[in-house]
Amino acid sequence: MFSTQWSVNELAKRQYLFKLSTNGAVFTTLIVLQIIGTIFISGAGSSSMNEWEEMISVNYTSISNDSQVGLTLFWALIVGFLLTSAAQRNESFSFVTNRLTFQLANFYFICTASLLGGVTTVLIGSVMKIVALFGDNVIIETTGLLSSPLDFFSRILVMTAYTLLLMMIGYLLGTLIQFSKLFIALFGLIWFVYFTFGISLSVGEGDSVLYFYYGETSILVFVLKVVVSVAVLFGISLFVTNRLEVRNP
Amino acid sequence: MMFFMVLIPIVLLLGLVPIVIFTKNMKRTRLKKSFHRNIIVGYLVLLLLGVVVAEFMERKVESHIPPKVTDKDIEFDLQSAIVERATIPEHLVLAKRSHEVKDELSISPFTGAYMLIERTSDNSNMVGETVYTPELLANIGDGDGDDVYYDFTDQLEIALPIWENNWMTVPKQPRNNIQYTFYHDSNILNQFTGEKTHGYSSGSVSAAMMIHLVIPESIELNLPEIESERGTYIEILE
Amino acid sequence: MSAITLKNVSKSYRSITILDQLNLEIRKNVITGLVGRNGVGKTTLMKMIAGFIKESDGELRVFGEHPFNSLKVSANMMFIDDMMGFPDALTLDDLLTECDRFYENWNQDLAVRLLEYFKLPLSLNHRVLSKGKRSTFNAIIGIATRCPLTMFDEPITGMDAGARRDFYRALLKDYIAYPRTILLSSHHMEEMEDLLEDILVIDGKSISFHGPITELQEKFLSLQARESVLKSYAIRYAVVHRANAGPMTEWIVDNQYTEAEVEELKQAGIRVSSVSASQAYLAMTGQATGGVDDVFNAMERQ
Repeated sequence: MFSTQWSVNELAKRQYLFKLSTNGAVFTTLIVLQIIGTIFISGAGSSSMNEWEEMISVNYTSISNDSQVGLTLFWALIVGFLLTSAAQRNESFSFVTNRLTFQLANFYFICTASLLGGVTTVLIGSVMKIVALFGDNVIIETTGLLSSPLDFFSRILVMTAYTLLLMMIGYLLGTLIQFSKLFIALFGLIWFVYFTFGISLSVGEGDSVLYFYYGETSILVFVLKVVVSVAVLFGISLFVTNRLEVRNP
Repeated sequence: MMFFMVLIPIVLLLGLVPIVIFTKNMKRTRLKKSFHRNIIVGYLVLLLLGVVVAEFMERKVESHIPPKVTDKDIEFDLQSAIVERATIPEHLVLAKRSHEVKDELSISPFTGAYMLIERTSDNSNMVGETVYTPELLANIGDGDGDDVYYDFTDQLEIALPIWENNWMTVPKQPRNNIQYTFYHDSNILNQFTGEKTHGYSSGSVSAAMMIHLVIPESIELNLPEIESERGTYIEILE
Repeated sequence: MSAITLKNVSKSYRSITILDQLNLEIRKNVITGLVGRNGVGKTTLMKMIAGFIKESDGELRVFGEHPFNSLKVSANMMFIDDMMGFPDALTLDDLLTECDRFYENWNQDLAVRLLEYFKLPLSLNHRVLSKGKRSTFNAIIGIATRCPLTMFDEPITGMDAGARRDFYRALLKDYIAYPRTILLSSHHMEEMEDLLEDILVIDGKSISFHGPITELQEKFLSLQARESVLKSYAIRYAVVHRANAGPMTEWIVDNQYTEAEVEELKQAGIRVSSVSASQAYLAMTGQATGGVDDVFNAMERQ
């Protein structure tokens, strides 16, 4: 009866390859952002001169890859959001897919993008080191790849995890908004309520949410927390999208 | 807080617009599929090259890193140690000299040093001078527990006081223009490496040398007027 | 054997009903024309069959599967319309590669040759194509994927006459070589008449005719004579269309005349002939009676 039978896995893989080939600009944007971050920070490494010249003093400044980390996380949030656009959906649904394979392909794509975000952000630390090393007296406080490779890979893991989390959050927000524009109003309301009441409630709610991840000291528990969070975020997206009607102006 | 409530969404939107426009334009300009792939691969190769270069350059500067000291070392209070005649670590003593002075000792106004004067009841005309080095400790502190300081003391050039006849002058100190740049990865990345930093990311630390004079009662002291706050700092110990 | 089955299928958005209680079986490996006036739900029906949107009520089966979220249906179905979203980043050549990735029966050679014939350079971007060229490209994709179920929704939008003729010709030729179920919707009935085997007329939320095209033609008769003659003889059954062309008047009437009655009409000097499918379709959907002229005539009378 049917000439073609795909398994979900096989098709998700093909949709993923399709996504990769059509969304190269997403990666190029990240690279441009990181380069912008690098140039800005390198230029801003000026130090204030000591006014009290009679005194014996030392001036010090630090360089770090904070700005690249920030820009990458920001990029992650936006890209997650953009992946839910109607154009992205219609592109996928021009070819063979159902909602499950479409979502899986998106998820694989998000994982790939997070990994690239994590790896490049940690690697660009080395570029910042070189920028710093052009100065006269430099103290490198971060161990390099050779001196402690485990630390190096833990950095990649942590950055990838945070990028993945933010991308999934952006993705879920986008999915909900695609599902119903009413969610924009809801998010606005939550935002407003959080700032008017949430903060005054003794302990800031946001701090504890951040601390849930950032305060974790065991790498295993951290990975577990991130995996569970991502699974929950993805599960909600999957549930919402499974009834979505496509190519429907 | 209301300020942030408005500011954060605006910043997000301001960021969203350029990224969206940029991504759209990237897609629209008729770049071949391979263009992006080449860019990504090229970028990664460049970064890996950066890692290798950084590893080499890092080795070179490693030997020039100033020694680190911890909290306990800096809790030492030199002035009170002098007053209480406690033992003072050897490395802090820059010079220990004695000078012969007849009847009267004049000290010209100076900056950049603290002077403690102690009178003794003996009747000799020898003035004992001990110069203590200024301690330069920058708290860029890494490590999770104690603060860690970098000790720049060794790199200072200090000009010792000049004694001529009955006149003591603290010379203008040579320019100690010590500039340091620190590099450390973002704290977010260092969640599990134990290399989170808690210190200030930039700043300057100043110090002055301490001159301790032991002068017999018999010698008359001719001290400069202490006028400006930044000027001469002399304390006579009881 | 039917490819598509609908049992009491309805589709509505909130309070607006687009399609109401459709019952339908579309035969396998047959080209079916889907016609109807604007906004009667042709596109909605096709998108429902494609699995893009979900039926509100009833039972819909495509090759025995429920199409919404069915990978099997998606893999064996191609839906072509002028809104097809192809990524901006890809050239036509890249798009053909993607088709090859997703469709097992894809014939690259045929696609390339057709693109060449229609003068569509492979290096172009889908976005920069003119409306007609884009439709042509989409139609070529539809033909070359050779999906067991291929649906074209207004495929000829923007195409010039030559391209339209060539498209129908190419579709027919490939269909004969590789039979499949084809659903074709268009407003230009007269152009695709020769291609169609079955015809499905949707009118006012429901199906008003579904069957072989000859059956549709047989529902009506064309009677030509002087108006006075027609008025005295052909009054037995409903007249769905009247047209004056010179001294002769043409009436299209419901074909309920017995053979004896037809003989009678012929005796009276009335020329009796069959109607074309498009005439029959126009008559059936009420586009033949009066038309927009009535609006202006009524205003003049006031």
